[in-house]
Amino acid sequence: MFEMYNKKILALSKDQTLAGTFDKPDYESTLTNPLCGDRVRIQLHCDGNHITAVRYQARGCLLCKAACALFASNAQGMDRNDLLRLRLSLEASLKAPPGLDIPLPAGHEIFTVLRTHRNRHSCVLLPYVAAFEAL
Amino acid sequence: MGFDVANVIGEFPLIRDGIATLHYLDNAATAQVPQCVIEAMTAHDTRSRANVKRAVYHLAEQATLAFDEARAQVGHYLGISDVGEVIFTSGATAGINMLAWSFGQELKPGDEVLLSILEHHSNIVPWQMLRERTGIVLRFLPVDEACRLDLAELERHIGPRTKLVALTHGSNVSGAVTDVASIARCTHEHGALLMLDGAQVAPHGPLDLPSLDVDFYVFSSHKVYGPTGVGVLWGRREYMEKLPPAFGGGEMITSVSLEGSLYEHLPHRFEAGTPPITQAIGLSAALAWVMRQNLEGMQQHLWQLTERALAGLKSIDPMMRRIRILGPSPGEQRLPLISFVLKEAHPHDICQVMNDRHGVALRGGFHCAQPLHDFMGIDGSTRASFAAYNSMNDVDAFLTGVEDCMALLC
Repeated sequence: MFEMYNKKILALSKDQTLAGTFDKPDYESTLTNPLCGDRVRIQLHCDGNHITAVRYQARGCLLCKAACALFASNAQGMDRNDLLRLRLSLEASLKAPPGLDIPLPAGHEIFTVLRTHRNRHSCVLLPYVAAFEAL
Repeated sequence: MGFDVANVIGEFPLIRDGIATLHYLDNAATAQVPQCVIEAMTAHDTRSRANVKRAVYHLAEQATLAFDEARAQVGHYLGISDVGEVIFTSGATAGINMLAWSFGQELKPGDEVLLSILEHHSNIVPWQMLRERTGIVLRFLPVDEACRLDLAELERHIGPRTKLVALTHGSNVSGAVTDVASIARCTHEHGALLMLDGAQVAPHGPLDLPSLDVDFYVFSSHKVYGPTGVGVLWGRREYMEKLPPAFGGGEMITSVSLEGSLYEHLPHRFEAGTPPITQAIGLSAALAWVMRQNLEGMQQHLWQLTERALAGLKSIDPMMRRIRILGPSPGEQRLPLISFVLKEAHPHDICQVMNDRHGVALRGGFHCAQPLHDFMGIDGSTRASFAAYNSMNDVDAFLTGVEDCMALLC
């Protein structure tokens, strides 16, 4: 394979552990990226303001699927502010100009390769945006 | 007489000298520019740059002359004699928006505009915005299984309230070319007017708008080997003169007072502010370049590239179980572009593999035609589109890349 589709990203994209749906989600959001056709549906169970469980459906590129799996595996315990901080932090790191090294959020280092592929940023950000909008 | 693609490549600096391994097959999005276009724009900006139409100093006269000559060149390319009907815009999208706004001023709630499922978003969204403002009704002509306009449905979709039929001249997704004659006849029989979105057809040779019997036409420069930032809205004088201007400001008025303004005649009436002067000169050079080519040879060349690509895809997947090609069948008329779906592989992943491993530049996604993709039940497609400087080498790289994608992604 090659740099962008490295083994870690490929493995994540195939990880179906948290893929699927809840019968009665507490919160839900479906978002489409109009540029590429990626579509994600995020469903959340919450205890008060905090996420207790996530399910997702992703129809999209490998990066989008990998991001969904990564988000879902890390989202437990987060509230809306946590989601926003994570999304903004991920976005800022990905879009940082050359020479300005803003570390990626912990656990998201696999997306380092995307820094030079701005047109793919929306693929990995989609589940984070969808989750925030769900809440 | 053959078409010398090596000679053509020599005229395009980015293709000739640019990225070492580049097979640029995204021409339906934007074409590259020949050296003569770059030189024409540079010459203007270094020797005759000034604002147009008003000032009396020599440089301004030169700029105005160059701008007027650019308009005349566009008229020549479109086969029309009244260059006042040629309106410079920032592109086809701007032209359609302008027409929707201006033409929409004349419409009443319940009046109808006929579009189609095949349209680019630029020929859907402006009319939706008009619908929200005015209460007009939008109707959509369906497509057949080959993603061509279903003309058998035309009579059922045009009625006494239809004021405008606005359709693509050629699809940026399926490559289907519209049968204009029958549409024009039916449209006019019902007392409606016809607008064509020529963004994908204009690059392939001069047009003859009078014989097409259309009333409005738009295209973009950057798809016709010209610069970005300029396009054309053409409209018959008898209609354009009655339309209110879409934008107000300098250049489009004859007088302004605090109480009101009097508007200029065509074309200035629709060109508020400083026009895209340098870009229009570049567009003129691009159209002149196209007209200098062996057009029959060029069209034959593009046809051969397309047919080779189609045959190659069929060869890779003879039963067509994994590759779905959108649009007309091989041998049928189509623009030189191929959109396809590779099962189990997302267009973005295909495009990434094509670029990173094969230097092939493709486009993936909805191609600004989401309703068409929704109709076909697919989440996007991948598109290869050819231009005059593409060669069989590019097609072969594309086909090799498709095979690689099938191995890696499926």
